[in-house]
Amino acid sequence: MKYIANRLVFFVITLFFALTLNFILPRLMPGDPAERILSQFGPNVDERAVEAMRIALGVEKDKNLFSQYVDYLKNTFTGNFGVSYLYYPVQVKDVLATSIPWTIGLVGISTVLSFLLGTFLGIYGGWSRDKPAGSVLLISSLLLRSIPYFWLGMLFLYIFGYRLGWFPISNAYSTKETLTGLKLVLSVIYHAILPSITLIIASLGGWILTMRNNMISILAEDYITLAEAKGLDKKHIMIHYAARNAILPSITAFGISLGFVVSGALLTEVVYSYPGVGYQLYRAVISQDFPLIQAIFFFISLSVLIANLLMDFIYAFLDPRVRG
Amino acid sequence: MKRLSRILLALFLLLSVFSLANELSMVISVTGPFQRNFNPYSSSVTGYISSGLIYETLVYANTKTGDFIPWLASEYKWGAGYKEITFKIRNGVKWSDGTPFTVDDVIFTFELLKKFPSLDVTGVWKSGVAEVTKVDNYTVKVKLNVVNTLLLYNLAGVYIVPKHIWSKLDDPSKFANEEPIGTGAYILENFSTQVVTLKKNPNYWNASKIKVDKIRIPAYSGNESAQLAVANGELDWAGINYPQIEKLVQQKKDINYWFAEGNPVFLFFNLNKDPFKSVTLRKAFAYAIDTEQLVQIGMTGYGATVNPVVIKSGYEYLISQDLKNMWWKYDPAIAEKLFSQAGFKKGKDGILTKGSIRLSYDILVPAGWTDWIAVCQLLSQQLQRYGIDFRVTPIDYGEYLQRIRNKDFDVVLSWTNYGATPYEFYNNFLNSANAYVGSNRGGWVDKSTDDLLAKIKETADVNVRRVIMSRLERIVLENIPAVPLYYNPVWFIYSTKNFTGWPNAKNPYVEPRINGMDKIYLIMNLEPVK
Repeated sequence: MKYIANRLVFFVITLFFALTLNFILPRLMPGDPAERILSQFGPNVDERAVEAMRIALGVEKDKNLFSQYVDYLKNTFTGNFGVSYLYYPVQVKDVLATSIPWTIGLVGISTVLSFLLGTFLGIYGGWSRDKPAGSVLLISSLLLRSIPYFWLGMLFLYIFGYRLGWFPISNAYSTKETLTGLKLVLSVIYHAILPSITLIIASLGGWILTMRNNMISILAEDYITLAEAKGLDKKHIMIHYAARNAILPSITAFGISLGFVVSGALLTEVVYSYPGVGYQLYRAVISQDFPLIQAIFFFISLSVLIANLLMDFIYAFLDPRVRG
Repeated sequence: MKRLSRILLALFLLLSVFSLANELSMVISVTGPFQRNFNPYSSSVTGYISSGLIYETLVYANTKTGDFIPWLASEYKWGAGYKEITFKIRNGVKWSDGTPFTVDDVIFTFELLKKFPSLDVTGVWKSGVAEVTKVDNYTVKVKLNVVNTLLLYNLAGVYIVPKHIWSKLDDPSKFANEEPIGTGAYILENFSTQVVTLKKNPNYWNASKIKVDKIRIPAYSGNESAQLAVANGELDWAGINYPQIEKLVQQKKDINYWFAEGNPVFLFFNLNKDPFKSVTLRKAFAYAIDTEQLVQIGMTGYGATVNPVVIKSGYEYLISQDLKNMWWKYDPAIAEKLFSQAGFKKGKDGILTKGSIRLSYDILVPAGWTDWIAVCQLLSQQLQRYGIDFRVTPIDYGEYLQRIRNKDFDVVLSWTNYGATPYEFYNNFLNSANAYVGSNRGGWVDKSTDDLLAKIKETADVNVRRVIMSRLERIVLENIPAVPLYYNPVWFIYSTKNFTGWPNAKNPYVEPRINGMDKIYLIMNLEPVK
């Protein structure tokens, strides 16, 4: 019980610090949001529009930093994120509502699949480290981990999207016709395949290597030797003796990854023109869209901290030693 | 049986109508998923979609040809010594919800811009409008408190909105206008964050001119996917950059491009700082730079060359022929002579020096603008030969503009907003009111320049304007406030697979810009391929 209370206090303090940092950092950037917003259209836009934009956004400048901070805390906890500068006059919550579901769908599912696949391959790889299959697995996962994944994405886009034409080259669903119902669902799945494969392949190597290394260090433990000496079934030792212990660090890493799902996958989103939070965050930072930056960071901090908290609890369940 | 066959026939006809409907697909800019906001006064992609296609102006100013084309106003007339303009409102125009368009909508829109300055994107109330009044049911009068013959360009940016909807809003500047009701040729058919579709407004006042039935605008976040869509022939009109477009054009016979002259790019000097106060030094720079190389290599051939008086094609009649002997061009020998005339000699380190001044500076450029950075690097290489050290310094865009505003720079690669006409360009480029804060980035402040710029607004006589322009050109040629390098391209790739009648270098009837009324004017010139 004391352990859980401890974790909860830690959670609250970290959240408060994250919120404060979230307020300060964007305000340290130089420049003017009005100009940045128009800069996205390059140097060919009408400069007179900057004046009008400045008036529209100029509300915040009159207030001092402290009262801005108080307002910010109050609004964050009441879920009132205000109007986005970049998409003025669209509400921040509307921008999030059109991007968070795509991100959770694409990045969330890819992360889970990649973790499951990577962990199983890692268990196998650690177990059969002396066999040729283990070496092949080791080399290929090292290779996978060192490929820059946006490059992989561009390669896939060019080969499977453009050259072979097997998959669509952009967007989350068909933009050529207006679809509804089941057709829309199928179109969404079809459009998610290529970006999802890119994300899975990009993170697979990491999961395999973590799990494999954990396995190898556990396999050197005395109780494994004892289990083998007792003549237990090999598979039983691999799963219930080795993997159950070896998976603990991977679980922690998985928790952090899940928390970061909300931050999106910027480069994948850009390469495949896929909607999501990563691209919105990037645009928000580029245009100094404080309300949008703050809302996205709030959700990232919140989900990372909650994921960590949950992992702490799960850890206590999986590993009796920490309950202590 | 008879009835069934009739239904089948009707269905067949309906289907054939559907399949006959042609569709224009275009990409406006690569700025990611759309947000539902069709406020024509908002600077966003969807705002740009609504301006021109859904909402319209009283007159359309074609900046390529210099023509004013009556639009929602059937005619306009100057009066009272250029202190008022009378607009006759077009008869029989309806809002897309069926409500008739009236003179009250026009007056309401102007009042709206007065009350909410953040909507007044072209600054009509700041440029001299004093009052907008109703004369009769079809006539509206705009009164000015100063003479400003160029005001029509500002008025041509005012999108008329429906009074019966917008008057009910508390704050129209915060209105996302999710269900746009306009007078324009198109109405919103479907919105999603990934694609916006528009269909032809059946009650459009000028419907016979519209041959494009539907417009489809998909959202792209990355250049890669947008460029592949161009290569795949999925887009009829793409306002994007495409590396080595010439190769694509050779492979695909439908695809073509025209990168028209956009805003001019300059090497600006901080005229408030010491070495750059010297005219001789600035002139030396003008002769020292090989702008042709900057365009061919730095801009990979996609910039357009600029003349020393920065007058775009279409306005050649404003170029003063008497001054052509003062036009400078790339000439290293003259440049070297001018540098030494300005008192600069190579020091021990090979850098040109005069007293305590060494010609060694950071040249600022926005980070991430890769073509511009390449131009800066070439520029720096070119100037090295003369003993000038320009260190290419890409900085964050916000900081870049802030440093120019705070006069905290020596040399910078930047642009001037050209506006609708050369008159507007000269005003942006040279007016002391725009020094550092606007397009006059080097800070040219000169009383006689300001007086000449004011005089242009006082006359509508082209011949008088030509005389004034020649004086301004003389000022530019004598003083070289900044060195013009090239015109930034207006990205425009088009496909003749589905539509013909596109503007191009041979037939430049419109500037294919994405924001404003140019879009609808262009679309009116398109013919579907049968």
